[in-house]
Amino acid sequence: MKREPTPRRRAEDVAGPPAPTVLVPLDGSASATAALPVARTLAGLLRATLHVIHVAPQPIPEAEIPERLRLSPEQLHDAVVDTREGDPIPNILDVVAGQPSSTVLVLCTHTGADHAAGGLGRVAEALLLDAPCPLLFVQPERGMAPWVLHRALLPHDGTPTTAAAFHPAADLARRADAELVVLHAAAPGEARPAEPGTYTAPLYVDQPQHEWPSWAWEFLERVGSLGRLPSGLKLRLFLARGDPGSTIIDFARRNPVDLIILAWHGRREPERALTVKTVLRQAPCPVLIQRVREPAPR
Amino acid sequence: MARADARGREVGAPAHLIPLPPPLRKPFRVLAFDWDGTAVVDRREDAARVRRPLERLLRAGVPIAVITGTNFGNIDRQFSGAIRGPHKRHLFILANRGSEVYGFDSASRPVLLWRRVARPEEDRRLTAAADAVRDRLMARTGLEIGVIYDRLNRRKIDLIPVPEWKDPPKSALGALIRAVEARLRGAGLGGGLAEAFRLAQRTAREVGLEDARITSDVKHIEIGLTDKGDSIAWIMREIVARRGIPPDQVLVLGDEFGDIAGFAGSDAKLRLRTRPAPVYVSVGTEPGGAPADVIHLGGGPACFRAVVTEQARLHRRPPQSRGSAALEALVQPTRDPDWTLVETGFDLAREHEIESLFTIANGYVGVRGSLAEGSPLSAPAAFVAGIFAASEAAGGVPALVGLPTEWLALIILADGEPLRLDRGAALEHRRILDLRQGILWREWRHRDAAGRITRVRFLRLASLADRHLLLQSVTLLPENYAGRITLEAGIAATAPAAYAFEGPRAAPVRLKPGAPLADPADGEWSQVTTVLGVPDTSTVVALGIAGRLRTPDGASIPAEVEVDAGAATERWSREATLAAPYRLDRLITIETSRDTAHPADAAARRVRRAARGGLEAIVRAHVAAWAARWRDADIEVEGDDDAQRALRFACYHLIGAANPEDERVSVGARALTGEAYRGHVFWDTEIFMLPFYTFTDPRTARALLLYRYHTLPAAREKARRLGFRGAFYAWESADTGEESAPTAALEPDGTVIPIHNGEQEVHISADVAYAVWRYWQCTGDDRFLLEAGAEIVLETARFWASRGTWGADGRFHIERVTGPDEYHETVDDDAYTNLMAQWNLERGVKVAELLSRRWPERWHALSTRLGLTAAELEAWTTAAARMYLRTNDEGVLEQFRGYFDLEELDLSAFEPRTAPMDVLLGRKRIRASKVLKQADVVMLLHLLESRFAPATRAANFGYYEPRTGHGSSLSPSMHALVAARVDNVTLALRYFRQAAAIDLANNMGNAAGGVHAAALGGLWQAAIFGFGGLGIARGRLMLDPHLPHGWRALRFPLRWRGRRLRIGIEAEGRRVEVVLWEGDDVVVSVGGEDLTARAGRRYRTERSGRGWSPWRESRA
Repeated sequence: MKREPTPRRRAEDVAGPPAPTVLVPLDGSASATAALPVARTLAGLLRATLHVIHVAPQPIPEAEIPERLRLSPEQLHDAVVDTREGDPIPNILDVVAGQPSSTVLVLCTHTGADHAAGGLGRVAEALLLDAPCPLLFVQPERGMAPWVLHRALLPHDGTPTTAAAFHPAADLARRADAELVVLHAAAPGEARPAEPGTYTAPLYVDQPQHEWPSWAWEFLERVGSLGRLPSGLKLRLFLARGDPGSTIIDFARRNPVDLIILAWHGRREPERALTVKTVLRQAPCPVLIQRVREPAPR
Repeated sequence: MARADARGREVGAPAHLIPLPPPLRKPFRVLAFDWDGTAVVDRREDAARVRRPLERLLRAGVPIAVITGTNFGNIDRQFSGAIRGPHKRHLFILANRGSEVYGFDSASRPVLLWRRVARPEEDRRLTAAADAVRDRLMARTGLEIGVIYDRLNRRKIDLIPVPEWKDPPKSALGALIRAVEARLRGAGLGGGLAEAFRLAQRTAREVGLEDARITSDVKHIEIGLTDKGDSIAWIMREIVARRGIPPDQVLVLGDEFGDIAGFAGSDAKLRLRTRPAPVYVSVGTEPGGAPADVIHLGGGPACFRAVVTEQARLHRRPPQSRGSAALEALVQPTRDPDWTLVETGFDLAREHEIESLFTIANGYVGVRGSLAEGSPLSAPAAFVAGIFAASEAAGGVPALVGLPTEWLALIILADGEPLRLDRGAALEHRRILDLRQGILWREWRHRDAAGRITRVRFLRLASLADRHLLLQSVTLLPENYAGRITLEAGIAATAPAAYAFEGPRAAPVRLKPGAPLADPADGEWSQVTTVLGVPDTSTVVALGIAGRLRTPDGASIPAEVEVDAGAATERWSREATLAAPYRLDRLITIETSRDTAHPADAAARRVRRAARGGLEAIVRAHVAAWAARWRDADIEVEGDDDAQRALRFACYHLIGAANPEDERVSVGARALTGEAYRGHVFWDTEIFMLPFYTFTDPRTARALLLYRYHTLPAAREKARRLGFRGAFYAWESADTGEESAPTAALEPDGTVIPIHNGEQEVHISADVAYAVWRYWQCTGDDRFLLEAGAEIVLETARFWASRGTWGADGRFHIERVTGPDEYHETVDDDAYTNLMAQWNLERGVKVAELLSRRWPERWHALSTRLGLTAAELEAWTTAAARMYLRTNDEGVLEQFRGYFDLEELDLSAFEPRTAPMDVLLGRKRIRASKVLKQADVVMLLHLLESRFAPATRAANFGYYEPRTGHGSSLSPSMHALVAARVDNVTLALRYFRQAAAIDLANNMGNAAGGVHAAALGGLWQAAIFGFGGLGIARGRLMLDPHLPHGWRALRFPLRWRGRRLRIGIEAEGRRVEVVLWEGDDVVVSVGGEDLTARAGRRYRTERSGRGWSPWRESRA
């Protein structure tokens, strides 16, 4: 069943590519609804269609949908609501695959008590691994409070691949007039990524009064160019010491951050996904996972 | 096509009459080929006919690789032995079926470059396998089967050891196959040759040769450890990749790519699976047919000669060289990989580093190697030495000013479509820094969206013959179209950066542009002059620009110049002819108010004069100036290509960093290659770079030290302001010599840290004095000593006497200082500072004695002017004698008071790491530890080596080396130097490579703000003083070589007290050769063997036991 949204596109959008979709899976639990305020703000910023999907074992009468989702009809205003029957994971992936435009999945990290050590419930974890689109994870504890994007944190390992993944996030920040804080972590025992063009903390700091401004300038120049960041963006850079996961969490706890944006290669080996798992488990704010491709071997 | 007669001799058409298919009618950049059967019929053939075209290719700089199953001696007798001359360095012989590679040195002598050395166990298994195959074949067939054992890394099983097939020519292959097959099958081996081949494969595995290479020339089956696959891999790695050559520009020729009698021919191993792949050509009969990706010509060696003759012809006249508009009409690029730095393709992320590394500079001006048409990350910039401006953006301290670079930018339109790397497809793209000629080349072949292919070549140079003059030439060749081409100069091609680091950011200081003037065209050249103002000063910089377009018919066209709203645009537009070259030449002259009262007039005059003199003369003078500079500076390393290139790269940038004609500027930390460090001058110049200039171009060293003389008033004022006497040089010095170090820095973790260096790194004064004395010692330049040097040494000595204090212990202490190890600030009695101060005080007294004895009148005048008294000199002597220094029981100097009590940390526990130790540990923790930032006491082991007994040097190095975190780019080279001198050459080479990687490693990103000039100077010192073992003792040159493993020879020129010498450390360090080729007799000592060398003679001594043989003399 679908409910047509109120027309919201401007005239110039009609002739252009289809508007993006912000897709929110809701399983009917109270926890799941925490994704909705974030999704609604995101849809507003992206001028996207808000699309709610509910997958249930049995068909649901149309009139019962709000109640089943523990929402008032007003809370579903302006959204396309789609219900399906069966297992939620293949159904959600099917909806994502069927979207004619770019899609962002917004969902809670978990909705019950079943979340694993990684901080994600069964559905969330499956979607993280298999959904080909960006995923925005929301902690159920944040509830239904409105979400405003003032500052986003972009952890960056210095590789061109990660920098290139920043473009959508930067576009989002520009639309929200938010500040982007780039965070680079340096840790002992960490080898430099082999990808050509990688720019990490300097191995040599001859004179800090010159080296750090130069390094920061170069770092942001690369992020700006490779990430095709729009001009006029408010951008700041921080260097932290420690492993990436704990430095991200530490920074986000010490500073008001509304969103953490992680570039992820999608590699599932435990050691490769360590940062993603740590952040998803401990982040005090929503986390956007931006899938990036492995760099081509040279 | 040629064919062979019954005895294998060729008959048929001459080489130049054999038609070749279109893919072979283009010049290839590397030729690799099989020898027997491909280049020659057999090893008895006179190879002169094939040698001639191949030698022409070698002279054109085309690398040639001969691949053969036989040994080097056979090929050298038949072919390479008759080649003599420097072009022979491009020849490589890959012998013994993939087991050896030979090259040739500058004297045309063969040099083994690589060898696969079999382990004894492997050798035993090869023999066991060959014997087993023979035994099994004999058991099956009853035939006589032979084994040839005396081959490197392989054994040959002879399937037909009968006299009539003793040495069959390749041309008789068909008959040979029939004979072998008949022999084997007739004796009961039903599968014939193929079965014997499989038997060899199986047997090799059975005896434990897991990676055995089985090949066959039909007569033999070979079981080996290597094959031609190893040869082609070496070629692709060491020749092709190192030169940045695309694989599809490699031509590989053979005669057996296809199957022969059921197994792959030996040349099949030359085919690579990677794409793009080389172009393969077979001149063999290919009885089983050639593979699809091999061009099968047949025709044997005659056809091979046709191919190489055509290649020689094509290289004599490459497509772009037709007509006077080609760049080659001006100068040929250097192709020798030891003399070039090549960046192939385009990696946007690395663009800032590449721009720094590929800077062209002449000490007056430096121009970053930016793309003329720009890219999203281009940071084009040019810097004129000595042009500083104080700027709020730079934290209020003077900063080297970046010139506007619109004059470098160029827009190229092909039929209205801009040529840019980010539009269409770059089919080829290379930037080549020609170190030998001081030229930046760029080769670019671009296909736009419409399919138009344009070949563009750029040349850029900053003249070393006329330092105010720059040249940029661009040749365009529309390869597959005729249409309108337009070139526009004087228009900014890049947008300003839009991101800002919060805090005292590294925003560039730019000149304010004035209104350009279009001068009347001077003949074929259009002219524009513009004057730029330095913000908040009266300094101006004037640019004179002349441009013209050369067309294929030899005509020259001046630009249409538009002046509008303060900007000038030069435009050339032509209907271009298909495949014809058009060349844009732009001359740029720079004059500043530092140089002349009327910079604009001077710039216009100079550019007019340069244009009238002709481009050829400009380029010739520039190339000659570089050749002269290299004659006195070039280091040759045999056996280590990476080290060779790193040293040439270092020398290139050091030559370009300094100007012997301007004694009011010095070399900044990043020279003229980038904005980082604001152009500020540190101790880097005197301690790390000056030795290079002193020993290769004393005029430049003198000019750099005179900069310190001219900034002496500012050093005196700084000392006075801080309550001291004498001269306290600026830790960071710009144009006036006033202290220019910022007082705070914002670290990227958000903390603001105070910067005390300006007040605490007092060692700078002793560093300058040390450099002065060293220069005088090495040059004997008394005039400099009298007019400037002595005053520096005396005034710095005076500073130390006032800076130190007498302690209750009766010792002279220097407190609250920071030594080179900046992890420990505000320490007392830093060993480096105290020992250098002690030296400075002693040298002050010595200078006073020297002047009073040799030039009493000059001494009287100087001492009177400075107010120096005998009592003051006496006080210096006392302070020096009582200087506080503490050592432990092993003679290890305590780096500063209390250092020995600090926390020990195992640095290896932090490896690998991408950040310096202070970042990982934090400032507080590192200060409480023994971890050092850089060579500190270790520096002393080099600078004041004679003050340490050999055992003490080793003890100090052994103590401090493992505690040093190398958080400074100055550190690795000094550790390389000292490690070599304490005879730890393995460690020394490791540090040498680390130092070389600071700028040249491709994923460090360190060089984005400019090259590390001090690290480059340190690299030179590590090679000369470390591995070469050059030292000065008792006023004479000493040599104590320590060549690292793999370095066959190290040769370098030296300027020494008006003489020119050439030193050769030969035979892996076992022989030293000395040639004095200019100047009076000179004494050189090696291991206590003194030599008095005379000009024009060559001398050599060789290691003999623990010492050296007596010198032997010959004509140079």
